[in-house]
Amino acid sequence: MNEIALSLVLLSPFVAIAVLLATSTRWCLVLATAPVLAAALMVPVGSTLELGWLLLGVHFTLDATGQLFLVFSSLVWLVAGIYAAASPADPRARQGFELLFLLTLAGNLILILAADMVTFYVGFALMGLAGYGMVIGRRSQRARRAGHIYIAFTLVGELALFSALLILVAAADSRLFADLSGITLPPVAVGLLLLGFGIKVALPGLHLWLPSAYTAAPIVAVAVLSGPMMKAGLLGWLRFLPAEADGLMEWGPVLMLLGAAGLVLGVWLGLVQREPRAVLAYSSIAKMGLITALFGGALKSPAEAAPVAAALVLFAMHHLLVKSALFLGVGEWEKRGRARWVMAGLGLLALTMIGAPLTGGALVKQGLGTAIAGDFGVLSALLTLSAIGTALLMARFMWLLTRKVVRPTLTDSIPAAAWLVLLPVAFLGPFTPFVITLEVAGMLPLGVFLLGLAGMSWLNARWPGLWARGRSGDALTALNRVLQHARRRLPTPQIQYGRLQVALIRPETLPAPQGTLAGPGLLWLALFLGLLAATLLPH
Amino acid sequence: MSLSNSLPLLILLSSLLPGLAIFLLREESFRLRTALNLFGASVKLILVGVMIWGVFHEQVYETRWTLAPGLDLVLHADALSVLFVSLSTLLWLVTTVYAIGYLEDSPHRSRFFGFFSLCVTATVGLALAGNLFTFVVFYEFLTLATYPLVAHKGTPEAIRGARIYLAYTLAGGMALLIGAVWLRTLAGPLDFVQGGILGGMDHLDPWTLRWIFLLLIVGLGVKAALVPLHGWLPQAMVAPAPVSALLHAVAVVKAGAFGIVRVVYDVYGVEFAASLGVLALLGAAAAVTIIYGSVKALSQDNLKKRLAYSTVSQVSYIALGTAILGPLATVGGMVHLVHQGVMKITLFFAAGNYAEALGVHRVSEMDGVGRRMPGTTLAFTIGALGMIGIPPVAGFVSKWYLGLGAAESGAALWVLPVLVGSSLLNAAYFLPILYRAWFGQPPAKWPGGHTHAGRWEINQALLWPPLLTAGLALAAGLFAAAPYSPLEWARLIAEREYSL
Amino acid sequence: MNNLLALPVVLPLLGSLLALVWPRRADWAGLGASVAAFVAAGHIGAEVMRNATLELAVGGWAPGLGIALRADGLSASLLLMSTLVALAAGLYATTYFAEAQKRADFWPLWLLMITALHALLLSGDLFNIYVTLELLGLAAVALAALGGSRAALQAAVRYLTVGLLGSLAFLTGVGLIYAGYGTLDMVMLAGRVDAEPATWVALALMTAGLLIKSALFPMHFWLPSAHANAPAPVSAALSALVVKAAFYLVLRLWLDVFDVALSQASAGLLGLLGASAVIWGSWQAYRAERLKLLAAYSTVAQIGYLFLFIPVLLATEPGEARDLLFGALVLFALTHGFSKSAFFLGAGVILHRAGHDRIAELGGTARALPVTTFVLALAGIALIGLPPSGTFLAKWQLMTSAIAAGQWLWIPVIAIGTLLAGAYVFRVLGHAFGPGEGVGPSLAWARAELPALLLALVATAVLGLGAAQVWTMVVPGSNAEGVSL
Repeated sequence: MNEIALSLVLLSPFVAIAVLLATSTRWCLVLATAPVLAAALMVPVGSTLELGWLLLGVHFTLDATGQLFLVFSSLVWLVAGIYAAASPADPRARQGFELLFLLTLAGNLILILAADMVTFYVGFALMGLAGYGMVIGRRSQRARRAGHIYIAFTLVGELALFSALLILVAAADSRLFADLSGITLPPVAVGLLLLGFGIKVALPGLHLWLPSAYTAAPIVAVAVLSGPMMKAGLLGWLRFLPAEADGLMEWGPVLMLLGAAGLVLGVWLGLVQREPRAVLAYSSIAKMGLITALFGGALKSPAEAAPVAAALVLFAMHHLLVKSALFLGVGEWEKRGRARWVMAGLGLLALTMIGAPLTGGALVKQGLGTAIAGDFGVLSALLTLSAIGTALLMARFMWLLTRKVVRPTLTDSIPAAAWLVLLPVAFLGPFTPFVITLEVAGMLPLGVFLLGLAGMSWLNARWPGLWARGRSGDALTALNRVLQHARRRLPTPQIQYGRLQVALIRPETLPAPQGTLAGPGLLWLALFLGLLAATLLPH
Repeated sequence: MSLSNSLPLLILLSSLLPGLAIFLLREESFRLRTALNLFGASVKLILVGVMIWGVFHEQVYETRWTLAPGLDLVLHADALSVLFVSLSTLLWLVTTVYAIGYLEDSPHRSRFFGFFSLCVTATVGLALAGNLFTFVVFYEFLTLATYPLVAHKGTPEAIRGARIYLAYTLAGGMALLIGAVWLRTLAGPLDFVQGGILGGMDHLDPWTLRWIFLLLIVGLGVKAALVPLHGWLPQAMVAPAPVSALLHAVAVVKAGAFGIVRVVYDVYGVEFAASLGVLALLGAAAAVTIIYGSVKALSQDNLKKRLAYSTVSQVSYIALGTAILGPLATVGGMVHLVHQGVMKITLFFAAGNYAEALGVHRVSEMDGVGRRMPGTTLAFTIGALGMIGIPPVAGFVSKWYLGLGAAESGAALWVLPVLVGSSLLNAAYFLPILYRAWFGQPPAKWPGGHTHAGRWEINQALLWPPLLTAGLALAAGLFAAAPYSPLEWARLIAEREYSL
Repeated sequence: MNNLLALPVVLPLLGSLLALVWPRRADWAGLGASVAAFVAAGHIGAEVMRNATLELAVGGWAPGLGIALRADGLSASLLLMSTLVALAAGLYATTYFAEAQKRADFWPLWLLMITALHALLLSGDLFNIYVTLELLGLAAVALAALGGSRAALQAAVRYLTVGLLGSLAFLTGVGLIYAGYGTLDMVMLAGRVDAEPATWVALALMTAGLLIKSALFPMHFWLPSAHANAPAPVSAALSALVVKAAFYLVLRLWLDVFDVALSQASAGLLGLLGASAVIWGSWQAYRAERLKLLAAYSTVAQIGYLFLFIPVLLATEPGEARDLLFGALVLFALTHGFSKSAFFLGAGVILHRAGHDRIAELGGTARALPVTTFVLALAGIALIGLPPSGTFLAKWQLMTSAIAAGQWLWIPVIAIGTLLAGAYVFRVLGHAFGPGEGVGPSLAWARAELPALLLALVATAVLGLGAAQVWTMVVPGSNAEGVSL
C-alpha cells in the first residue's frame, strides 16, 4: 500500500506530462502537484519502494527528513503550479515551459525520496537541467544570458557530484545512503560534494549564477528555484555527509568558514541592490550561508549533530516556504504595483523572514538557538549576525518596493488567491500553529528592520539617489568586462609555423568557439579541473 | 549439421545471400529489393534471438572451416560476440528501413543495398570471429564493403573521402595483419579464449609482445579512430546519412573498438596486458582521443562533422574501459559499445532528416528546427543528452561504470578528469544545438530539401527509425538493471572474463 | 589410366590443327578442345590428389630415353589453372575479335601456345622442356603481334628477341648438364647432381634464361609493352600463364633438381630481386596512365612476390612447415593467374567500349559497366591480397614463414607492396565510381563479361574459401579437412 502511494508520488509528474502532451492543458501542473502533497501528508515515514530493474536498481524511502522536504516542497510546487497555470501565458515562453516545469518537479521528488546515491543524482540532474528551461522562460536577452550561466554552473555541479558519487560508491561498495555512515569518506569526494552542492546552495564564489537567474527568470521559476530547488542542495549534504561517517570533523570548520563568508557576502551585496528580486537573491545567499555554517558546526561535533540537524531542517523548511512566497508576492507586485494587500502580505512575509515575534520565523530560530546552545559560540554569533543582516536586507527590500513605481498590467485573481493561501502558512510556519511565543530575542531583528527602513528613508531624503545607485550587476559581469579589456590589450600571438602549420593543423582549426556557453564554460572547466587535480594530487 | 555448428554460419548467410541477390536485381525492382532486405534482416534477428538465449544458457555455437592447414576460419558465439551481433543486427534492420526511405528515387540503389548487406555481413563476421585470423579476414572484408558506400554519391568529394578512408584502413589493416602473423608464429592458433591465451606462455619475450600489441592496436586504432589515426572519419562523413549512421554506430568504428576489446581480453588477457604495461599506453591514447575529439567537435559548424568528431571521442570510451583493469570498467566499456551505437545512430538519422527535409547541414542553420520537426528533434535531443551522459539516457550508465571502475582500480586520478572534462565538452557542443533547435527562431525559408506533403513531418520511413533508436537509448538506460538489458549482458561478459 | 596425362597436350594440338584446316569452324574447334582439355586436367587433378604423382612414359620407353610425362601436385594445379584460364579467355575471344578472320588467325596460335604450355608443365625432361619453352615463346610472340598496331608489333619483336636470348641461355645450361651428368630426366638428375662449378654455371645459365622469360626485375623491361599492347585475351594468357611457366621451371630446378647445389646466398639474391620487383612494379603500376599498362606492371610486382617465396622456402626445414609454405606459393601463383587474367579481360571490355583505357577518363564506368567494374574490383582484391582471396592466405603464410625463419626484411616489402597495390587498384576503382560518360551508354555484354567474372570469382572466392584443397593437392599426405559441418 505504501509502495503504491510512493509510486503515485513519483509517477504523478509523468502522468501529468502525458496529459500535457495529449491535451496541452496547463492545469496538468496542478494535476501533478496536488496528489503529491496529499500523499506526502499521508504516507507514513519509513515507507520504501525498491525497483531493481529500473536504471541501476532504484531505492526510494521516505524518512522523517524526507517527509519534511516533501511536504514543504510539494506545497510550494502546488502553489507555483496553480500560479503558473492560471497566469496568462507569455506567447514566447509558451512552448515547453509546462513540460520543463513538470520535469523539474519530477527531479525534485526523485531526489527527495531517493534512498541511494545514483537515484539521488538522477533526480538532481533532472531537476537542474530541466530548470534551465524554466530560467530562460521569457527568452529575453537577459534571461538567455542567465540561462547560459545557470546551465554552465549546473553542469559543473552535476559532474562534480557525479565524480564524488563514483568515489563514494567505490569506497562504500554500496549505493545506499545508509551504508555511508560506517565508512571513512575520501576527502576528494567530500571536496567534490562541497563543490557540487555548493553551487546549488550558492556558496560564496559558487553563487555567481544565482543573482542573474533570480532576476531574469519568470517569477514561478524563481519561486521554485529559491525554494525547493535550492534546499535540495542542503538535502544533498544531509544525505551524503552523515555526521556519523568518519573523517568529516575536519570539514566542519571549512563549511563554517564558507558559510560565514556567504552570510557576509550576501548581506553586503544585497544591501546595494536596486531590484527587489536581487535583494531577495542575495538574501538567499546569506541565509544559505548561515545554514551551511550551522551544518558545518554539526559536522564538527558529531555528538551533538542530531538535534542541530533537526533544527536546521526546520529552519531551512521555513526559509523555503517564505522565500518562495516572497518571490510569488514580488510577482504580484510586478503585475499590480503597490496594491495595498500585496504590500501587506509582503510585509508579513518579511517579518517572518526576519523572525519577528509571533511569527513562524521566530519559532524556528528559537529552536535553532536552543539546539546550538551548547559549545557553539561561533554559531550563536553567526545566528545573531544573520538576524541583523536579514532584517537590514528585508528593510531594503520593502523600501525598494515602496519606492519603485510599477504600472499595473495584469489582474488575474487565481494566482493572487494561490499566493494568499500560501501566505499565512508561510507566516506562521505550519509547525505549531497555535503556539504563540513572545520572546525578547525576536525583538532585536524587528527593531533593526524598522530602524533600517527609517534610516533608508532618511538617507534618501538627505542624499537623494545615493541608495538607488546600487547596481544589480554581479561579479561575473565584472569578470567578463575585465577579460574583454584584457583581450583587447594583449597582443594576439602571430607566429608563422610555415609548412609545419600546414602539415599539423588543418585550416579549419578553431574558429571562434561556438555558442555563448564557451566563455563561462571554459573558464569553469579550467577552474574545476584545476581543483580536481589539486585535490587528487596528494594521493 | 546441427544447430550448434551451423547457427553462426546461418547468421552470416542471412545477410550475405540477400546482399548478393540484390546485386543482381534491376534498379526498378523496388519491392523485391525491399522484401529481400527486410526478410534477411528479420531472419537474422530471429537467429540472433536464438543465439542470445543459447549463449545465456551456455550453449556452444561454433562453425569451423579450414582455409589452409593450421588456418581455420572460426565463427564462434560467446557473450561478447552476442553483444555486438545483436547490436549490429538490430541496427541493421532499423538502418535498412531508414535507407529505403532516404534513398527513395536515387540512382544505384541495388549497388547500395548490396554493399550495405555485405557491410553488415562483415560486421557480424567480426563479431563472431573465433580467432584472430578470422577477425583479420573480416576486418579487411569490412574495409572493402564500406568503400563503395562511402564513395556512393560519386562526387569528387565522395571519391576523395573514400580514398582517404581506404588509405587509412588499408594501412591499418596491414599493421594488424603483421601483428597477427607475428603473434601467430609465436603463440600458435590465436583462438579467442576468455581470460586470454598469452598469460600462460612464459617463454615469450615481453618486449616482443609489447611490440606486437602496438602493431595490433595501431591496426585496430585506425578503425576505432584513436588519435592520431582518426583522420579518415571526418572525411568519410560525405557518405549518405544511413551510411554515416552505420559507419559510426555499428560497422567500422565499432569494429575497431571491438577488436581492441578482443585483443586485450581474449588474446592477451587483461591482467597479463596490465602486467606488460601496455594498458597504460592504450588508456593514454583513449584519454587523449576522448578529449581531442570533443575539443575538435566544438569548432565544427557542419552538423555531421561535429557528430563525426563526437564519435572519435565517444568510441574511445570503449577503449578506455578496456584499458582499466577491473570488472566494473569492463562493464562500462562493453556496455558503451551498445549504448554509443544506439545513441549515435539516432543522431545521424536525425542529421540526415534535417538535411533531407530542410536542407539544413550546419549547426548555424538549425534555429527552430524543433518546431518544424519535433519528432526528429526529440530523438536528436535524447541522443545528445545521452552522449553528455545525462541520466536516465544510456550514456549515463556507461559513464557510471567507467568511472566506478576507475575509482575501484585506483585509476581515478586520470580517468575522472577525462570523463568529467569530456562530459563538459560534450555539453558545450551539444547543448547549443539543442538550444537552437528548440528555442531558436525558425527562418522564414529553409535552405532547401524536399518538401514532404502529408501529416508527418517527413517520410515515415525516416521518422520512425530515429524515434525507435532514441527509445532504445532511453530504455537501455532506464531499464539498465532489467534482465537481458545491455548492462546485464555486459556484466555477464565481465563475469566470464574475470571468471567471477 | 595414365594415358590421361597425354590428353591436355594432345587435345589442344588437335584443336589447333582443326582450326587451321577449317577456319570457319575455328571457334567450335577451339572451344571444344579447351573444354576437353579442362575436363582432362580436372581428372588429372583428382588423380594427383589421390595418388600424389602420375607418370607416363610415352611409347613405353623407360625414362631417360623416351618422352616422359609427369604430373605432381605443382604441375597438376598449374595445369588446371591453365586450362580454365584458357577456356575462359577463349570464350571471351570469340566475342572480343569481331571479325571471323581475326578469330581464324587467333585460334590455331592460341591452341598451339596452350599445347606448348601443357607439355612444358608435364615434361619430366630438360630437353623437352627447352623445346616446349621455345615453342611457347614463339606462339606467344605471334599472339602478341595479333593486335596489329605498330606499338604491338614493336613490342612483339622485342619480346621475340628477349625470349630467344632467354631460351639460348637455358639451352646452354641444359647442354652443360647433359655433358656433366649424361641425363636430362629431372628425377634421375636430382639423384646425381653434385655441388660443383659446372653445375653452378649450368644452373646459373638456365636460371638467368628463365629469369628473363619470367620478367623478374630488372629483366622485366620487355614485359609491360608486350602485355599491354596485345589483345586482351592474349594479354590475359601472357600474364597469367606464360610468365608463370618460366617461374614454374625455376621452382622445379631449384627445389627438386638442384637443391643440393644451392646456397642460401643465391636464394637471397633471388629474394632481393623479387623484393625490388614488388616495390618497383607496384610503384610503376600506381603511376601508370593506362589500365592495361597498370595490369602489366602489376604482373611484374606479383612475379616478385613469387620469387620472395624462394629464400624463405630454402631457409625452412623440410617438413610440415615447408610444405605449408610451398602450398602457399602454389596458391599465390594460381590466384594471380586467375585474377590477372580476369583483370585483363575486364580491361579489354573497357577498352573495347570506350576506345581507350586511360585511367583518368574512366568516370562513369561503374554505372555503364557494373559487371566489369565488379570484375576489376574482385580481381583487384586478389591482387592486393585482401581476404577472401587466395593471395591473402598465401601472404599470411609467407609472412608467417618469413618471421619464423628470421627473414624480417620481407615483411616491410610485403607491407609496402600490398599498400601500393591497394593504391593502384583503388585508383582505378575511384575513377570508375566517379562521374563521367567516359565509356558510353550502359550495355551488358554477357559473353565477354561472364568469363571475366568467372575467373575473378575463382581468384577471390573459390581459391580463398577452398584454399585447403590446394594444399591437399600439392602436399602429399597433408590432411587438411574440408568443412566440418
